[in-house]
Amino acid sequence: MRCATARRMMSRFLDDELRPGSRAAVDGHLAGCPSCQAALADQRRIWALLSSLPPVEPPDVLRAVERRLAEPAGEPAPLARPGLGLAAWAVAAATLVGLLIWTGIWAGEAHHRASVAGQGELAEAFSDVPPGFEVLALLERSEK
Amino acid sequence: MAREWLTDRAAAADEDHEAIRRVARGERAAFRVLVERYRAPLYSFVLRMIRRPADAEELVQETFVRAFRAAPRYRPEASVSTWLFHIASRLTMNEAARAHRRRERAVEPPDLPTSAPGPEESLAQKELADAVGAALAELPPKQRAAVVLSRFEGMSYREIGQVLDVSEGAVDGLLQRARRTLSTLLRAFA
Repeated sequence: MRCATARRMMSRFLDDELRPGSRAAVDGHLAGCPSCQAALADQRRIWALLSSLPPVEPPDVLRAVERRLAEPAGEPAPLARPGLGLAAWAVAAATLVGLLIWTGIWAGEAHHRASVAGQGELAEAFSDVPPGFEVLALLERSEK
Repeated sequence: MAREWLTDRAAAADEDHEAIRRVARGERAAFRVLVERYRAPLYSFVLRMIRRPADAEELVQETFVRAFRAAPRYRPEASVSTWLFHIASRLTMNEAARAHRRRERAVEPPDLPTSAPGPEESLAQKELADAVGAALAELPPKQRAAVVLSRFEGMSYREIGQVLDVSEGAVDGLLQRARRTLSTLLRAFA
């Protein structure tokens, strides 16, 4: 076995994830390779360092969970910060769908331009626009 | 010893399956058992991922709320433990990715150990823990999750793959890269 192969298998070796045959092959290589022995020892030390992280005291979440379960089921926004929550995105998406329909009916000129631009060009034209916001960008550009 | 551990895990998995069946029937008592059993490992996982205690607590609550509501759809292809970690991981990963992009750092480190070392030892220990915590935070979220699940939760590559929705080979790759990065970042302490 070459060093490169042994190094590739080292993570599985350390985590006891190798089959017996492969493990024996790595063991055999290590026995005659000081460089890989050193690499293994280094990996072991790094892994052991993770133990220096203090244990975590878990909060009592049961009461809060039961309180939340008593509320009507909706689409929750686990962390309101940072950025928009899921509910806000849903409202934004619904608004955009409405705008899309409205645009299809009333913004004939803009729609026509988008149609003739072709899909590839359209995608390119709005490559700097976040997904879902193409219609707003289209209206903005048609006003210029 | 290993056999006893495996037997214990198998027995716990059976108990969990029974508990989740009862939860699916709406039995709150069975749900409370699962919350008590998994709040500590889930909180530990989420906190080590995002490093903000208040947000970690909220995400753990959300994990249990979603698990309760999804219990009728639970299929025992993975263990209940893996399933719960999978829910927590999905909730946590986006937040961790955002924080990673901002290179955000924790406002406060997690709670200190329960033992009470002397002042010098305490300072050195804290310095080391801070360095390790900061090094973990440098890892991309999936690598960090793989490290935490492997090192702190003792999960196999198969279980980590189920939690993170990746293959065992991918878990191997994540851990290899994480080890290389940690080795570089923590060289001064090794």
